[in-house]
Amino acid sequence: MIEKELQNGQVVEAYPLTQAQSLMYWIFNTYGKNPAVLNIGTGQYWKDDFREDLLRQAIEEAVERCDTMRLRFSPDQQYGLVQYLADKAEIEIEDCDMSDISYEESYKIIKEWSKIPTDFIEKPLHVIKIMHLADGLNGLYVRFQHLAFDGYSSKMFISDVMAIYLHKKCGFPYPKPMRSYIEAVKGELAYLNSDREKEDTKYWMERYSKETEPIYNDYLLDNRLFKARKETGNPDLRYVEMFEGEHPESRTFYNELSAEQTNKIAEVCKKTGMTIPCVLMLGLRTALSAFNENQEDVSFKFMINRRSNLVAKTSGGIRMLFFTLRSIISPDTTFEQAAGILDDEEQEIFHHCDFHTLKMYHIKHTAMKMKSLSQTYDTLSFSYHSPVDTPAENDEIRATVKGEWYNNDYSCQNLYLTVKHRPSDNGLEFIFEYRIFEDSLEDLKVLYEKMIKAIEMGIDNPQITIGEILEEIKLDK
Amino acid sequence: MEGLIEKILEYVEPDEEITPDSALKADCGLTSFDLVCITEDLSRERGMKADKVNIRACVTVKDLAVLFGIE
Repeated sequence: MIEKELQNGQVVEAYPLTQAQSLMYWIFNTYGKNPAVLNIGTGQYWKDDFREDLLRQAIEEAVERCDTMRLRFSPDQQYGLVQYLADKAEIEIEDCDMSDISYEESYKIIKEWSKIPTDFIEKPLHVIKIMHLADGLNGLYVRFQHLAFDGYSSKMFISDVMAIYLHKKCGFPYPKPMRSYIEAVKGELAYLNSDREKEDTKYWMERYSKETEPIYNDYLLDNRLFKARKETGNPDLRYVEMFEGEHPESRTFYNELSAEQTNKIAEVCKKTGMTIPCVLMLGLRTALSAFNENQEDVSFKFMINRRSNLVAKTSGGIRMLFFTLRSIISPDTTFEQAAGILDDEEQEIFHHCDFHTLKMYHIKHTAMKMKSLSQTYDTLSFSYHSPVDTPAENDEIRATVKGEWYNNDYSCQNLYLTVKHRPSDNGLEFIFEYRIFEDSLEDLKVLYEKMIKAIEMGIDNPQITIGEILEEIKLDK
Repeated sequence: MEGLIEKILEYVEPDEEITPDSALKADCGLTSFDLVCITEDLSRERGMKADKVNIRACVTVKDLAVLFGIE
């Protein structure tokens, strides 16, 4: 804990940034180049006999219950940036009526709100509005700040609002209390320089000193590794140079599966012991393999949200760290076996995932004798958001729920695939956030098509081999 | 066994009471990541390292207890 004097002279109990926050802040400073990168614009709307007064009360109570609604940041000479909790959230809940314009028009306007940079120094971080939209949709828009909330905790907050609203409106059970954010921060900071961190340092150093050199698999059909090999005259080159800081402007490429398709994946997973994230990652890595002459060795970054105990799950904040998920899978491996290989690798990393992403990459780059973090073997970043149970009054109203993510068109990474579940029926949504300077959209359409085809083939027959799938999804088809 | 159930309740708040026969994932609602973290906790507390293959074979609370020699 640090005694921190704020710009207004007030002295507060402050804390350094956690590992996940310092990673986010570093990515923002290095690759973001626009403060709007730190905005997470979300909306949750539904059709019911809407009670605005009750929703307002529910939001006020949820804000009161959630420490990170009071979170502030302050510049600091020693730590760069420190965090503290203000006495009050000081978030004014605005009311916004767009019911006289189409949903599509309102979407465009709301999306623009997510591009407004947040001044996050010693000020409230988040924006909340009660919304009235076309076709009888009502609900709330929240612009979260990414040093205080991530995808998981933002859904937790909205779920808490809904639970309180339904308690007030229909007598549903009042939600269980949120946990202390500062307790979670203390837990995170206690890891630094601990025996556990020393053990994890040893693990990552031993791992990368033994590991063979990975290889970059491009998602662009005009393959940048092959081009770099020609340009450098080095046919053995296995990484590409990819500084991602200059052009943060991005767009999203959205796709979805039906509830039936998603349920089928879940049912086969339950029967076979495969997990949904591993099936998704297997589909992705098989499609990347097809893009790269059936390469058996595929690496990408995957996000771990590190929310295990109840303090971590219900205290808000951000806990996401990224690690390389590398898999070497031969063509004669069955889909089910390959999912098991990814599961083993994922679980192995889970044991060591409190380790700071940047420290892990420093160890890896040193072991691979690379010159900078701009040189990479990791193709893209992937995250899977497991479903968060957001209560609804009944199934009929649940079917009307729209959960929106208003991408702010700025991204810290060249390509980031997020897979999450639709709030209305749990169907899977695939959101490719891609930087426009790469001109990758057409290739991403092909990549997605092959990814889904690979998943469908593996779910229809978990004993099919990866070689058989690659033959079916090969590029000339 | 009570201690193990208390440990599990640090991770999840299931609707039903947890018993030795409760399935770790289906009944208790634990994720793969939760299970790794619980076994890390138990390993440290009991000074032993659980084999990760065995962890995956644990279906019920009782299986986890057997793995760590908890009665």
